[in-house]
Amino acid sequence: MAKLTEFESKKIIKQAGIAVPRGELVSTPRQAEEVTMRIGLPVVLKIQSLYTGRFEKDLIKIVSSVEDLKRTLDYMFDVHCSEIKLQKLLVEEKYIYQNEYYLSVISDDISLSPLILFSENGGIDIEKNSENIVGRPLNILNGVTGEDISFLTNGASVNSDLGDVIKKLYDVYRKMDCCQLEINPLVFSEEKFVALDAKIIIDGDALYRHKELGVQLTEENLNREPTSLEISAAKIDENDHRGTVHIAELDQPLQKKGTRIAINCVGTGVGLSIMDELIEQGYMPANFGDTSGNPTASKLYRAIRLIFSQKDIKGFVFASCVSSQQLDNTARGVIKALKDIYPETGGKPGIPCVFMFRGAWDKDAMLLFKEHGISDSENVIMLGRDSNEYNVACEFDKLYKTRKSVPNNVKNVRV
Amino acid sequence: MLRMLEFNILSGGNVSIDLTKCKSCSTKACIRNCKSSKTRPVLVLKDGVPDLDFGFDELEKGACTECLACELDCQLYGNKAVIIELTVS
Repeated sequence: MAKLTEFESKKIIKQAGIAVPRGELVSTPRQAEEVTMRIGLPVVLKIQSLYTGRFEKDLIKIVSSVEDLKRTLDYMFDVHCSEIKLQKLLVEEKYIYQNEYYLSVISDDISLSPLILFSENGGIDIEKNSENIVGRPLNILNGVTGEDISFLTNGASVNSDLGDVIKKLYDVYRKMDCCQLEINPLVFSEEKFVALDAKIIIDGDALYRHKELGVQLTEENLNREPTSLEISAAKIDENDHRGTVHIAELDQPLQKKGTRIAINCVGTGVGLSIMDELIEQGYMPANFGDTSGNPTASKLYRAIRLIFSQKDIKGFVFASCVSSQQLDNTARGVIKALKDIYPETGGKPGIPCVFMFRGAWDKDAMLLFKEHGISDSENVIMLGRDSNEYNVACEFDKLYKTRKSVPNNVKNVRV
Repeated sequence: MLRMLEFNILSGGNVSIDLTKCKSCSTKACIRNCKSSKTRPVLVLKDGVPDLDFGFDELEKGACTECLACELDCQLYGNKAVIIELTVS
């Protein structure tokens, strides 16, 4: 999935005929002041970030005076520049209104259809007011009907133009291949409905149809910007659909908690189980990694190179589920990567590593590690199909504790 | 005689084989373990050295399964003639 920023989302819904506040994107305080003068005080300053809950995080500020503007801009650019890598700020006119509505279209897993959600109690606390949200699954062949609109807005003291907004929003949902499209709040002001905030999430599988957006598809870290490693990882699958690579770094606050262990697994479930088991043993996974769907060895090579490029990695764990994936190919990709990362030892890793191969061609995979001398390394433990995720974490723990006492052994990975 | 055999692969990167080293190779390990997405291997023996059984365009479209066996086996059992360069962003 690909999440668009508020500004990008508003641009799209504006083109569909839904009113949005006047506003411009800026990247310096001076530009922000110029835009404010053009629009006129009061204005709303909104950092364009994929974080949710921006209001609570102080990423949205309302400014009513020139003095306030300068002070707020200094704060936003100085503080947030370093903390969240502020790139763009949206300066927008401030609307006066009475009620906030919530309007959204989502792809509903239960009804297997688009689902329109509407509430008369929109705004920042929408999650707390979920009992007031009315939902209406749509027949995708019919689109939004008058009956749907009546159902959604039944008893709502709103202008009949709301039906028009609902229809336009649904059209955007279809045209842009959205998973989720949300306006919150939608307000009625100056005789029209205005979308004060908007969010669009596009189905990742349909992103190729929207190259005009210039969005890079990465793992589903919808609450933050993708890291450079995640962007690189997404490129591995870009032109080669033989198997898949999914790599996501853990969020920043977690990265400093515990000894960082890199991970790559065959199968998402195994990946998550290994992460849980490592945490139980007192370690902190540096990343989530999954290379499955029978990927080529070259995909494994690239994935391992990227995973080992993370900073301050003190160990590595590889585990496969009992799958039909051709694990000898998987092993070749891993072996080539290790040989390139550790050329001076012929691929024997400089950090403790546990490899668990289970499934098709697992014995061949183990044999390849032996043939290339990697499993002879004192930093390596090989486990087979009689092992489980718990065993992997325990074996890693024993290995790490043994090897870290060896001088200069557990050191940063050089890639 | 051709001195280098080179071809591009689907995922981005290329395979190069230094044929001058292959003549004296007794195992031809690269051919022994070569696989392909179709019914025949990519590498075949011709005039005592590896040759391609697919066109360059077919290889670039995925005929080579990129299993890396040719390079790794050549390192262990051959004359270290195969090098696979894989781009990493």
